[in-house]
Amino acid sequence: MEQSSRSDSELVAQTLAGNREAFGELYDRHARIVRAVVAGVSGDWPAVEDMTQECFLRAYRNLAKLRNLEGFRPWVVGIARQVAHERRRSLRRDRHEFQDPRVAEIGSAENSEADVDDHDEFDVVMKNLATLPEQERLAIHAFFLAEKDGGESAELVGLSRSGFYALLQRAVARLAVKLKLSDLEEEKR
Amino acid sequence: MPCLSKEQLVALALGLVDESTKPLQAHIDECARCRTKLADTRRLIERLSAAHAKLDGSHAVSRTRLLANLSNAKVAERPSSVWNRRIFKVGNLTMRQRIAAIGIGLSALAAVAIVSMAINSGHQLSAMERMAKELNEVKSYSYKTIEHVTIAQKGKPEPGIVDFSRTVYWRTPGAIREELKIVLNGAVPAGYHRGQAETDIVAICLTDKPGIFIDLLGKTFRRETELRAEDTGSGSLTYPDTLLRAIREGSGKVVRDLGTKTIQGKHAHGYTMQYRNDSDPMEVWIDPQTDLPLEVNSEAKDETTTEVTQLTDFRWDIELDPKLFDTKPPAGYTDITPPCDVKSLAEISAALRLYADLSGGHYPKVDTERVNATFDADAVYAEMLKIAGKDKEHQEIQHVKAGLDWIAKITRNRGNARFDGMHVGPNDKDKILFWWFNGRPEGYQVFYGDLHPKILNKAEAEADIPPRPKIFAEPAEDEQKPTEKP
Repeated sequence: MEQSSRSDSELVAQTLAGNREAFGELYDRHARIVRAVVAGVSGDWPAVEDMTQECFLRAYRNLAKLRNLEGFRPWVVGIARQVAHERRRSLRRDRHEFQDPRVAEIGSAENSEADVDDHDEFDVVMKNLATLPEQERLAIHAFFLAEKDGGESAELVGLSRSGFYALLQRAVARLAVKLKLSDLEEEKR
Repeated sequence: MPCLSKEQLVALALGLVDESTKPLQAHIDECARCRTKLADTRRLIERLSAAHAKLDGSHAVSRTRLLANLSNAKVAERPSSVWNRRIFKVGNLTMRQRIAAIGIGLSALAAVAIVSMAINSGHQLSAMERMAKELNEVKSYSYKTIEHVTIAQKGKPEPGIVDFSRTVYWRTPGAIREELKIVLNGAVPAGYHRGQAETDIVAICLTDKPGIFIDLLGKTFRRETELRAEDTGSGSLTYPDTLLRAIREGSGKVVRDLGTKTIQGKHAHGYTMQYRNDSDPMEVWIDPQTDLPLEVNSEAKDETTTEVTQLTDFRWDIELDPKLFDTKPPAGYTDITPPCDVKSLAEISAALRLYADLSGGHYPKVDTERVNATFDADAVYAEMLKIAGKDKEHQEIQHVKAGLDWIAKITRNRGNARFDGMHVGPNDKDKILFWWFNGRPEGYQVFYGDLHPKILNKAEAEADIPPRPKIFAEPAEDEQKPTEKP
């Protein structure tokens, strides 16, 4: 993604003046962090792209309300948190308890081996990742979506760099355990 | 060495290596079990990387989809709540801008006139036509405006309340006095108290000599240049504000005849009218004896704000005491008229540059927009002397004191100036460190973080200068507090 030298405030001003391509540049700059937030907060990996679209559409519709034009990034991150929380609430309402049903399927002895085979390995990882605590999910998504930039990820999570790495290590370790358990369940079946 | 913990394995797999992880690597070389676990962990990291990369790979497609969807979405216009229109505008208004705002009621009245001219109702048409004619011929007037604004607040059961009381005196051709007081009530935020006067000003503007803007709370005044036609809302000195413009351009309709009532002992006939199709209806009560308004009442609502406004105590074609337009400042008040000469600007720049040099790369950590925050020139001066120690000539610091005094003086005019050393540093060449309204047609004097000065016109200033933060936080949908911390 090649990015221009224009500042966020310039791009916001140009968008308000009717230049949609300027909004596209804002998307290029901030889509990754928005994806990390919606994935981390909602835990709904398959819906990440839809939620990201929703975040930017809301940002576009409400752009005129943005008071500090240079503050587009924290603002759209705030919108991302809201969208993700709405998604979580919606999942809770539907299922009474927030748990990705596909995770339950993996751990359920009632599921056939064929069902399990239908999921590729990415899905297995992501579905188990969805069961981690929110902060740990956010750490993993932020790290891998921010091209393993610890500084940027730490800022998003609100920790020092060393604190972030400790959280990340804990999160991946916990995920590894979950996957191992998942494998064991699979072997049992 | 014992076998590695899961976290240590993850650290190695992620490549988070430093001196402390060297023994871990040595253990891995010796322990087959840990080597296997590390290989597993690396596979997991690769799977995570691949899964996230997959998402990133669809960026271009998603971008195209988003831009296509924008054609169905519309950027909402800037909220035009009463709060935005009034208190912050008022807070930011220069005297000329205030004058343009004065005529809100009158322009509405003029619109009533047009409205009535546009309809074919004999009685109403006649009354409104006569009022329009009279309004165009008045040579002086005064009236009071009382506004009660209620603002729903995010996370608070009790609303914030803002009470405006404004008295306006106008005398042809173009002598205006406005007295405005804004009081905060309801659930006021930290730093404020109920009944606190947020603004208390007197503004006098004349066509033939400089005017004056007096801040009764800050006990300061500033001089203003002569009033020009383009500074009034209508572009007319004889009929300032939007009165004539509204008569020429207004549209709308009389919704209903309200009958009669007595106002201040006078018989009055009322009409409900709508200024524009999308505006809230307002009541206009006219004196049949003079065909001039006696009272105007309106109520406007949006999602978060309710504004009840009454224009009352109209007095038309009256003798106004010349003292009302006397621009002599009150005794003991400080002149905070900002500088516009090169020398003063250089003094400001030199003071800030020296401070940044001494402090190791930042400006005085003050944001004058914060509640009760002020730029204390003496304190900053003392701080500079303290930091300098023996390394800097104290004489050099003494030389820049004048610049510090300017900053302190200019920023006393809250709402028309801001110094923000809290968030802007010497490397922020695109961020505004210090700005003020310079009282001249060109508008706003600005210093960016790297201290390069610039003069912005009104449009540029509106784009570049952050608006004043709201005192009461309205619950605006989708607008989040700008923080990235969860």
